[in-house]
Amino acid sequence: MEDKEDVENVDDVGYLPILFLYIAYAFIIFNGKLAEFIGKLKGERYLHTPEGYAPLFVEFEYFYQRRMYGRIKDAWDRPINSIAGAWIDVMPRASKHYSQRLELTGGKTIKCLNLGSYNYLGFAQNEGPVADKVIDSIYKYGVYTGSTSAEVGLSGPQRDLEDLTARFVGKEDAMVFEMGFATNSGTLPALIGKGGLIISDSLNHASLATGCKNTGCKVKVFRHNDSKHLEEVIRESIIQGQPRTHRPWTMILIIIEGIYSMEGEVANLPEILAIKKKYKCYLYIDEAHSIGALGKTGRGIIDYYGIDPKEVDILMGTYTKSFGAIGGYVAGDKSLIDHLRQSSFSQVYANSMSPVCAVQALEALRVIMGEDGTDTGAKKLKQLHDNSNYFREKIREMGFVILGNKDSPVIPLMLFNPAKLSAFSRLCLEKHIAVVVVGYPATPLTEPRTRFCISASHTIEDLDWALRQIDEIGDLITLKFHKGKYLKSK
Amino acid sequence: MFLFDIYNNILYYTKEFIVTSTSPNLFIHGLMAVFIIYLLTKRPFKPRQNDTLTKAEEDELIREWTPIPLTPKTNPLEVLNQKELIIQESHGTHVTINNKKLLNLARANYLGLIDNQEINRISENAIRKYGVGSCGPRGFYGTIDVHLDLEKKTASFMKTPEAVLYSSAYATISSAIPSFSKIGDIIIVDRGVSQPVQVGVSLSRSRIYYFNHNDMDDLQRVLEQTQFKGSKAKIVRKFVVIEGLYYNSGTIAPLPQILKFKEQYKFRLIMDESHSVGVLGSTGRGLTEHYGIDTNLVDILTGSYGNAFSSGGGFCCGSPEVVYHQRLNGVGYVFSASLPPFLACSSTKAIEMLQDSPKMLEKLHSNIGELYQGLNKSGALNGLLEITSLPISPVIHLSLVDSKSNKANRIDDEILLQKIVDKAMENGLLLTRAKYVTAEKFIPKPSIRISVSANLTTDLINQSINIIKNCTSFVLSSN
Repeated sequence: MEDKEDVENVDDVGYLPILFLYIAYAFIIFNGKLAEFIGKLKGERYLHTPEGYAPLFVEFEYFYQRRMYGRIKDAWDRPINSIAGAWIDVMPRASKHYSQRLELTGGKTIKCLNLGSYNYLGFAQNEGPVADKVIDSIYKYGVYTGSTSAEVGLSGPQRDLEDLTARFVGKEDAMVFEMGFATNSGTLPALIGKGGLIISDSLNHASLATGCKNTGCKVKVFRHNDSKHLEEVIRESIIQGQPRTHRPWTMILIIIEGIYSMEGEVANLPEILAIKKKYKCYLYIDEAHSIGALGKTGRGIIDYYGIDPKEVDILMGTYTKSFGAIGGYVAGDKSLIDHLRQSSFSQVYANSMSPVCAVQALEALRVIMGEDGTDTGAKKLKQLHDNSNYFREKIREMGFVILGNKDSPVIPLMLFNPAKLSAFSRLCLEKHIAVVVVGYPATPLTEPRTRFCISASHTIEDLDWALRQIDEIGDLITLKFHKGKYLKSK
Repeated sequence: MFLFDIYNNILYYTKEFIVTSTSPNLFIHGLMAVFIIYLLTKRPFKPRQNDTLTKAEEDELIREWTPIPLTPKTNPLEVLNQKELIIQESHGTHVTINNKKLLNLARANYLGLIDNQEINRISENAIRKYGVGSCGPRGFYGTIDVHLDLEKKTASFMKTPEAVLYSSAYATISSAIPSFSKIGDIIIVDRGVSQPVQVGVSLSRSRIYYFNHNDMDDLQRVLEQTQFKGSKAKIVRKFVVIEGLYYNSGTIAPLPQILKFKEQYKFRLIMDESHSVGVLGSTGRGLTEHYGIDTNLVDILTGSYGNAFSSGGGFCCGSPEVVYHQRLNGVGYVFSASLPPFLACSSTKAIEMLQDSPKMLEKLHSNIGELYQGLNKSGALNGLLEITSLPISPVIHLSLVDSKSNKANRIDDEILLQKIVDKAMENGLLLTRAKYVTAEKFIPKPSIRISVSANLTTDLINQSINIIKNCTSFVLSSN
């Protein structure tokens, strides 16, 4: 289970990298402001605001876009023209000046090892039994339903997917949405209303934050994965009641994620569950990254800790990652799901899932559960588990600062410098590795990082080759902050 | 030197004061000084010791607290809505539900492209090349070349400089509004907008003002009210949010008048064209084309591929700045997996087909006209229902003539409409009531919502008019 010593502390690296980080930011901002000032003297205008109107953008946002993000924007939005499998074809882009947009050069595509896509179980496939069934479904249902699930958009495969998902996660019933983002943002307002309290992990995904904002009730935040702080917040909240009126809260909903996508960290579920029970709160787990990717049978965080699914009130997840489709689900008790079907915004107002995507998710789920009569699913799960731990162990041995828990397929590597974001990403692309880098505002200002997503479709040779390249890059731009002391025990 | 002067002056006046002041005055001053000394030496005020709770008291409070159940009491409308229809197959104009082939007037399939053979073939090729999902957001290798193609195609179709793609139509407008309008800004919204727009408006946390549906005098009143006065006042961003074709009522916005106001009051216009793109205008460019207006006069224009083009996703088009801003700030764009490539391909193909064969659009327009005229004929709805939508709208709303519009009796109306829908299904016609979440702010009148499709033939239209006629008369007689 969870190995406490495995979780590393970012503070261990000392103050030097952080100092350089602040210097780097100060330099970039100073440089940008200077360029802006010179531009103004030359009479250049950036924001074309018509007479009498207020500017459409906040000034700093526009400055950030133009002078900071603009310099490193080539590290994101890289277009590909292939399937998002183990190897992808990245299309080269170029621009004359960093302030201008990147255009496709039309040159030869770069074949890269994909360490960026969320293709955990390798279901991003264009051939094989799953793909064949998907193609058949096009001719049976058409590609789209044109209506909402609440009206007449519920297709046969979607209903089957709902039933199978409920069975998979161990809940009475489940409902399926067109889009993972909308699952969270549209369902939370139907769960909890005025007078309720949401207690949310500080690193929850933007879709959860949007959903919380949309409920109109009070939202409190507890320190990431810190169950002690969670308990403090809950105690304080129950004792004080609602702000100003001091009426008791109608209900308290704790919202956490299974695997935090930017940290690679598995939620501390057993402790949070104990608190939830002690204080009669409800628990909502977003399993976007953990469903299909954690646990022996792929049933997510419940499986990982061996917990009875009935103890968690609402389980949410997406089909984007492990299943190679798109969309999301919410699973819970039958009565609750029946209510949500008629009250979740994204069920009543958003169109239902494309039947083709539903078939993809359904067939992938059947494979994972072994109901297709083969052991492909079990093999994939084992391969993902082995690949993740192999990669994590090897890259840690090299002296990089790695976040997250063992068994998690999300492996963030700390870069500690905004300039190294683009440097790392560009060097990796040169060496034919596609990686994802993330900086502020998706992470705290002081923690720019790169994130590897391991897939079951990677072979050990692929990973070994990638590790060698990353090792070289790490030496070149000095990323190995952890020399010698990485196995620090607490 | 200067300081020394001041010092001397003070000394001089102090001496003068003591010498010239009368004795009672001095006495009062003395008393005051004593009183101040008394106050200073007094024991300071101490709060009561037992204000903070003990652990036992805290525990008791926590023990006493009981939350309400997560599932609320069922309300009758939700129970009525719970009946589910599962589509077993879908072919052209018909769908199979409960092993019965039904003529579809309920699903939005305006251009009749669901199950179009060419679209199906394109989708198959796309899946054979790209798989189903894109396995990542646009920023992280989820941008496939077909997404870029669709963005270009959409921009050229809408005659705007650029377009940005979202993976769900619902998330499009509800992300686009809050990405521009922030705390402190002003949003003026038509009361008749549908829920996704409402969500976007409420997520923005701006100051929200409503005006009555399509009431231009009321809009002017609100604009006057929110107009800042005085020259020194800071200019505040102001947005007016409308829908091109209102899904909840089947009416269109008086765009020319609103654009006149725009010049006068200097606001920015956000328009959701989810149901008018691909429908209104001679080439399907939407409401702007319907009025013969340049699309670029609308600052932020959103639309959906789900209704006319029978594919997934939504888009927002406008100037390069507007589009680029959303690529970094539209939460539904940044934090969501991108649109499955095969849906991007089918949308591109659908737009191409619309551009290549304008007949499709003509057929849709004539079908809307035929169905509207047929239902509008006296006696067609037996005086039970009336059409509340416009003759050019692809969504036709049939509401009860003597509707009890207050919220308490809503359920009676809905039950009556459901009877008509059920009866129509028995006769081979798929209809649906317009369903809303009970928590919606301005819940529209109960209605049956019909979506007209270009692939209906005159026979099928007449057949469906007859079925609706029979159903209404049956329900009327049975009541």
